[in-house]
Amino acid sequence: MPELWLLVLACAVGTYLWRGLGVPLSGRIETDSELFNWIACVAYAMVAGLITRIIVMPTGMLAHSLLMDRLLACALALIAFHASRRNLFVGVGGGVLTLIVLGYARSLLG
Amino acid sequence: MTKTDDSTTTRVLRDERYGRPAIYLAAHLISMTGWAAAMRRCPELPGTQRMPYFIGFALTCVLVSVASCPIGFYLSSAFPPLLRLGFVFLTPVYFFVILIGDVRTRLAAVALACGALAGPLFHLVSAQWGILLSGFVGGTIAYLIQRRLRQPHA
Repeated sequence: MPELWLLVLACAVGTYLWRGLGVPLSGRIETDSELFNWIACVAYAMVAGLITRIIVMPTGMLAHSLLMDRLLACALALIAFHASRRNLFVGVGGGVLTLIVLGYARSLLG
Repeated sequence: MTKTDDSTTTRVLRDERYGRPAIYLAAHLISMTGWAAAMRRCPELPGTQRMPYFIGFALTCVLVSVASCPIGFYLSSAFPPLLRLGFVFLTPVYFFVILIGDVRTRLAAVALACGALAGPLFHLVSAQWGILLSGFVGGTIAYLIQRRLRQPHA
């Protein structure tokens, strides 16, 4: 058990090191500079890449659902979000519900 | 990933009213949710209100997740498989909506589009480094594209 706690501690130090280093590093960057624009681009692209990867090529439980269903659910989530005047709960709930309903409909069809 | 996120968000939050401890606490609280919320709301807020907004938002998220985690862990086996699938889908669809559903700037739109294309592509190249590569390559291409769009004759 103590080695498990040590592992948790080591992981915490590992993640926090980069976060802490980000503070002095970010102090040297102007928010309306070209460098900041580039960093923002990289951050957005990384996050977008991660999400599309999870949606298009999921692992684990999600891999058992169909790509078509996941894409339809995402599209419906966006529509619900905008139709409800940017209500996150309605948008996300609509997307999740779509995936469940589509999965249920497929199980009925065999 | 956290490194670039931290840089951008802590820079936006910085204000002389709040000292180093607040900034280092904020750096610890950065996650995709807090980052997206801060990048959306904070630029509209006066400098002095950004740090309290972010710390309040992120700390609430962390505390609620920590409390919900064990509950979900013990309850999940009691759920039917389709409902469990829905819960697993919650995370990607939530991130999808907060990012793509709420694009405010052309810079964000171009970068998200490039990243969305690069993500699955680089995952096929290397599952280990795919995310990092898609950020750097997709982000750099996006940066060049939006710079071109800004100065069409340059």
